[in-house]
Order: sequence, then structure tokens, then C-alpha cells
Amino acid sequence: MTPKKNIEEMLKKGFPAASQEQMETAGGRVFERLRSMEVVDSQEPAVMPNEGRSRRIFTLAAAAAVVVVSVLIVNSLRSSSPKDTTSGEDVKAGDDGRVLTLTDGSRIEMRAQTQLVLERAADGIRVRLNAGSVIVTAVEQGAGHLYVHTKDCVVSVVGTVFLVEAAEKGSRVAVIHGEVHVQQGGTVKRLLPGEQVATTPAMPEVPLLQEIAWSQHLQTHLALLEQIPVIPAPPPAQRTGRPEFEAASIRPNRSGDLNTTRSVLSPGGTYMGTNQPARSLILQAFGIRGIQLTGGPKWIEDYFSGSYDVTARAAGPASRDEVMLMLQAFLEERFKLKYHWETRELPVFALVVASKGRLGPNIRDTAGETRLNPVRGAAGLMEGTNATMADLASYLSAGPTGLNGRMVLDRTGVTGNYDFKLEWSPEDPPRVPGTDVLIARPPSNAPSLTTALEEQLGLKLESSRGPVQVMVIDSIERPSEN
Amino acid sequence: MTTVIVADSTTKQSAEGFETIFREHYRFVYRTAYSVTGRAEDAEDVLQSLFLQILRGKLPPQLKDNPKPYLYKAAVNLSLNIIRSRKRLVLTRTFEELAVSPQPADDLQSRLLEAVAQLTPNAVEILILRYVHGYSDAEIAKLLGRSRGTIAVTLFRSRARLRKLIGDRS
Repeated sequence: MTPKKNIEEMLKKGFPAASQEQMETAGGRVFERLRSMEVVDSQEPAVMPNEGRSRRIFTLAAAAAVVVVSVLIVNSLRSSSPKDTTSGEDVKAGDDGRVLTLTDGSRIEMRAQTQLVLERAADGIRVRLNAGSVIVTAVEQGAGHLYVHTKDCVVSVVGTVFLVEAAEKGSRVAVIHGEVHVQQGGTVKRLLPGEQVATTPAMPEVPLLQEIAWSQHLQTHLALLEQIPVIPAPPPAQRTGRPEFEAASIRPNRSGDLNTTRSVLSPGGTYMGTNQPARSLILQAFGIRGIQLTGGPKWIEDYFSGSYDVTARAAGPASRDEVMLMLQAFLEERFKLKYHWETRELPVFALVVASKGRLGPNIRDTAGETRLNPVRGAAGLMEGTNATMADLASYLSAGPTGLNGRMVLDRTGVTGNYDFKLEWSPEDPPRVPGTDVLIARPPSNAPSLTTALEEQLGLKLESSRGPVQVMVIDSIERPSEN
Repeated sequence: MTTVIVADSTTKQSAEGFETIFREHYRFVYRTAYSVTGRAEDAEDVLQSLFLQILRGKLPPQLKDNPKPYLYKAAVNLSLNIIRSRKRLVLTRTFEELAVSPQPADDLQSRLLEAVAQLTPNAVEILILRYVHGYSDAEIAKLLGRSRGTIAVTLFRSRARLRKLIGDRS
């Protein structure tokens, strides 16, 4: 079309047209924000105050919609001295990264060489991420929002912890805690903890834990990730065979860093295993304990040469059991795992109630949410959330309890779900294989495991023998990387 | 300051008054702002800024019974302020803009918006009413309180100016 000759036609069709949905959505948002505001007659100060944060941020930002507002940012932690940064100013991180703390308490942790610009948005603060990665810990924003813009997506949050990476090829957003909305083009995706999205297929999904490994606050983030609850899934659709992941990737992890070893299952049906030896993947997939798995080459339990990062996604929300079935199929396909089952008579411990009809002081009816791992812990410490006695017995069989790998069978006769905490002093704390490095340091004044079980939970272990189902690995191969 | 619509958002009557005016006009304001700025977030900014003024009782009292002309003109002016103060918005078509726009931007559209930004607010008001909202000359004249002749002449001159601006860039 020649504009000179067709200006009338161009005017009729050339103006951007808002869709009905856009109008309704924006109208609803704006109305809710305005309705929640107090009418202020006086001119608001231009700088956000340190106190009275969330709701006030929005009030000020909106009230000053046509006024230049400076955003006060205190550079902390990695900066040598506090410094104010004004709206629109470029912020760059050096080789050691940088941490910005906004006046509302939100924190922006910048990876090395990251570049961003902070701006005022109509209802909060906008971070323009030009290059690099940030992990944003956003406080509750009241009616307002904190936005992170990259060249090809917009992330909006109310109060959460999330990562945004801006690369040449595109952008990646991953959620550690809370909920974020990612707008790309005309579509908006809602992300929950453990989920991630990339704006281009050129950026393959990577394990979240790998993405955030550079963070100073890694342990805090990991703790948040471990809190991800597993939501009950709807009944699975009729399937002719075992369910399989919709998409899955695997990469060798040569870090040997046991601090990064994690398995996370998100409510959306995404499984993320980081630094997982093949043996560990098998144990998880089949829901068995170490003593129940035998055979196979040495490399399957080597954290330095046989460990992998696995990210796999179900087609939709899936229960833990469903995801584990998918992981079984994944192992059989990618590791060429072949195995058979045998029943063997092995020494076991029976978990029983020490004093009939009475449990210990450290165990109570559950108030927690369902988790992928209802019992968690390290050497000398064990915590259960919404756990059954079978869960406890199962953990005692496999966890760092110093029971020499013997299976613990639940013979308590106690039903129901419980929260509990157990502290003991292990006789032989677990170490990094082949080294003297402790995996975790136990508490110094705690009793032995058997004493702690009885005193704290009102349970005890009785030595016995019993039939145990054992999985025998016939063959397994190292997987090719994706 | 005279409070017209809402003096105290906690009073039921005022809140209802504000809600009524908002529900009646927000689509019109948003569509106007969107057509001028080309960006959803800017349109939302305009919508919020404008109704915030009303919430604070900044609507001229004489327009209490018929706020539409005021809202419309204010929407156009706020939108023009945005695109003029942020030239990159419609001139450079950043990746981000492409991302937030529900429709793929084309060169012709960006040239049109760039040219429209150079017109007077009066001219833009009339153009948007005609080509975005589909008003006739008579309806535009009635809404803006001008004669039909003024509207027709302004439209003619605006088209000629746009033709030149867009043609020059072509």
C-alpha cells in the first residue's frame, strides 16, 4: 500500500486496536487499585519512604503518575558503601555480582556482569533487565506490582522470589516461591514454584537449581523450593500403558558438590533432579531403599562421574506416584535400565510403639501440607510433615540414620498423619563417598537414635528378620546427553 | 478545591459515584489511549492516572454531568504526553514493545503513530474519534462542542499533514 494515496484506508486500519479482553482486564485491575486507595489531598513526597511499605508504594506511584519519582535504592552486601540510585539510572554488576535493596525491602540480586535499569511504573517499580540474571525477592506489593522487563517478556509479581535471565537468544523466568505472571506477546503464563519458561526454544530448560547456583542466598532459595507442596492430581486419564513425561532433558553433573543435590517435584508435574546419581534416580522412581537395590556398575552411585541433572515435565498436573512412574519409564528409555525383582529374607528392624497407646512429646497430629518427601533431614536431625508411620519407617530405612542399611518395617499399628521432629547423635555420620568429609554435622549433645526415638517420639526399633523385595539391576548404560 | 465526584472514598455514595463513572467510561478511555500510544501498559497508565484525578475530585465541576468530553481530551493529551516524552516508544519499536503488544507491529502502523504524535492535540482528538471510535462529523462536533465545519476542515488538514509526514518518510 502506498501511504500517500491511501491515507484514508491507512487511518481506518492503521491505529492499534485494543481487544475487548484487554479493556476488561485493564479496567478491572485499575478499578481494584483505585478502590483500594485512600484519597490524599496533599502532594505526596517524591521519594518512597522506608516504612509503611507495600500499599504506600502503590499510592505514591499512582498519585505521582505524571510526576517524576526517584526510586531510592540502597546497594548492599556486595557494594562497598551505600549509594542512592535514581529512576532511570543504569545499574551494572561487576565480577562479584551486586545486591540492590529497594526501599520497600524487595531485594534484587544481580549476577556478575548483569545490567539493568530501575524505573517507576504506574503501580510500582519496573526493572528493565538488559543483560544477565537477577533473582528478585519481592515483598508483598499490596495493590501494586513489581515488574521485570526483558527484551521479549514482562514479568509481574505481587510478592515472591523468582529468577529472570536475559540472554542474547531470549529470556528465561523461573519461580522459586510464590507466583509470577510472564507476558510474552499477547499471551500471559502463570508460573508456580519450581516452574520455568523460556521465551524461545533456543533456550532449553535447565535445572532451576543450576540456574540459581550463583546466588549468595542459595540455601534460602533451596529451602523455599523444598517447601513446594504436591497438590492432589485429578484422576489420570485412561491410559493404555505407563505414563511418560511430555518433555525431559538430562545432563551429566560433574560438580561433585553434594550441597546441590536435590529432587523437587512441582505442583505442575515438573520433576527436577539436580546432581542425582543414577542409583538415586532409581531409588526415587521405584520408591525403594538402598538395601532393596543391588547389582549394576559402580558408576551409578558415583557423585563425581555418574551424577546427572534431570528436568522432566508431565503433560499436566500429576501426583507424586504418577511422576515416579514417568521417571521409571524415563530410566528405562534413557539409561536402558533392565532389572528384575527378587524376594529375599533379610535382617530388618521393626518400628513399634514403646509404651502402648502413647506417643512422644515431639510428635503431633499434622498441620502441614503434603510433600514429595514427607520426612526429611540430615545426620542427627529428622523432620516429618504430614507423614505416616510408614513414611517414618521408610526414612529410617534409607535416611542418614546409621542403621547399616537395614530395612525398617512399620509395625506400630498407628494410623494417621503426623508432624514430628527427631534429633539424635549418629554414631557414624555419613561422609562424602571416598572421603572423610562429613555430609552434615550432627548436634553435639543429642542422644543415640534408639534413645531419641523412644524419648522424643515414643517409638522403638526391634531387631528382626523379614522378607524384603529387592530390585536387581541386570544392565544399565550411561545416557547420552539429550 | 471543589470535590465533584468523590471527596471521600469511604462514603458509600461517593464510592458508588466513582464506580458509576468508571464503569461507564473506562473502555472509551482505554481504547483511546491504546490507539494513540500503541501499548497496553501505557493505556493502562493513562486510564489509572485519569481516574485517579477523578477520585481526588479534580474533574472540573461544570463537567460533572457530562464527563465524557473531558475524559476523552484528557486521555488523548496524556497519551500524547507519554509518546512525546518517550520517543522510543513508537519510533523504535523495541523488542519489548513487540512483546507487550497483542498484535504484531508493522512499519506502516509505527509510521502512522509517529506522524500522529506530531499533530496538535485537537487534531488527534478528532482523528481518533473518527477512525478509532467511528464517530461521524456530527457526533464528533457534538461531543467536542465544535461546529461540523470545524471538524471537517480539521480532518481534511490532518489527513493532508499525515499524508505528507508519512509520504516524506516513505
